[in-house]
Amino acid sequence: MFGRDTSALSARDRALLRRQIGVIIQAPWFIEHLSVRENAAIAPRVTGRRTADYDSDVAELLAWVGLAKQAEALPAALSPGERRRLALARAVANRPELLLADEPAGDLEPAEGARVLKLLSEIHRAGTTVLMASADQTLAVRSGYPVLHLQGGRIGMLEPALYMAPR
Amino acid sequence: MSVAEPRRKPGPILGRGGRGRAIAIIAVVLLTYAAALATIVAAAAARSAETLSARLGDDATIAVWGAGLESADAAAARAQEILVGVPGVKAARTLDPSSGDGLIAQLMGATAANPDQVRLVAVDFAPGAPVAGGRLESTLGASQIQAKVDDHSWPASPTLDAAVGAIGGGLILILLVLVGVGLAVSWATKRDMATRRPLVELLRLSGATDPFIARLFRGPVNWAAFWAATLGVAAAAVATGAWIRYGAASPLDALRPVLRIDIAWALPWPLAVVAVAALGSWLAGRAALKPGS
Repeated sequence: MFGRDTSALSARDRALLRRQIGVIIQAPWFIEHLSVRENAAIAPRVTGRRTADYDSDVAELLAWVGLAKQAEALPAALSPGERRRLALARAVANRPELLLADEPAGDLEPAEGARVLKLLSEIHRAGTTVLMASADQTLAVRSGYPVLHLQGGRIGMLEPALYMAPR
Repeated sequence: MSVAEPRRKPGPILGRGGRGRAIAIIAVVLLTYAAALATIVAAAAARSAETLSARLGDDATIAVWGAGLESADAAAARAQEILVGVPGVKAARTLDPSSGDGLIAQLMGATAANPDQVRLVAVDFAPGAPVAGGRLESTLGASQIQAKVDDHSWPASPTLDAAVGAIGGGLILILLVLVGVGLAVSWATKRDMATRRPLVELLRLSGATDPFIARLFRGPVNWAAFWAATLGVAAAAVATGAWIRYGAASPLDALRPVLRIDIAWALPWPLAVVAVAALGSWLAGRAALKPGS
């Protein structure tokens, strides 16, 4: 990964490598006693950066995902769509090179799902590789990006005709 | 909408401690309380033993027999002169035979067919340098004086043995308490990490190193152990102080004068507990974060 053999890495080097990867899990989990802002800032915080160094970045990030007004709210007060957007903000707070998203729009209202996918698309345009997993093939194909098909433990690429649809 | 308390500094990642930490805190308070009481008793025993041996070791009584043509008085006078010259002996004097020393001689086992054949010589030693009874006997024996020395070790011996027992028992208890504290803290840290596994995984996914995660869990539990130990020691000091002052009459009353509430024994406890807690939580953190755990 990133040109390195991960099996040969020490625990510390693996942790450093993980800082280049953002992850959005299917059912996002938050630290419920921390605010939305503090949850979004968890990655820079645990990597040892000073609050003053990332505070404004996190504020910008929350504004970008549409959660600026909820910055001091607790995660429990957010809607499912807002939680998914918070998970997205948290995953990219350290500006990862690769973003892994497991069903980022799953179980969301269509409009909210589309909003999350639009944000993912913007992240991709900003230079981050986005690998999104979805059981919804229509959504995957409609995204217009290359689609990998996972079946029986094997990964294959769908035909270009399927994924070259206009974005 | 639920809103977090506005703060400049980010809130603690772990939040409130779980039930495991609460159980560990209670265990540390109780264990430290017991250990502090053991320390007080062991310190009192050491103090008593030291005072007793200093007092009893300050002097000795020597029974001297007259032999052959030499009367008991003459033998006692000669012994007195010889003893004054022994290094460590400050003074020597023959006791008045009319002051009931015959009875003392009998108590010492120094019997004679005629009580007039025995005299007692009292010897004072220089402070802190008592001379062994055997050495005095051999010195007098070299001058053909038959003598028996009582250096008061016989009444001191059982007391000193009891003191050594109390100190030894106290040290064993203290060791057991420290082991117990280490185990309690280790268990609480492991439990805390196990019940917050999703948080541990979230931190890992966020790029936190294992030492960072371990520190996150160790810090609060070590800090809690410090305060729990302070509370345990304070409770033991208060309980002892109350017993010395207001305690009802009991067979332990003889202990009261030697019991002391002393900061010198209280201070090391929280520090020792923190050291043991740090070791216990460090080992627990390593075990909990080991791959495959």
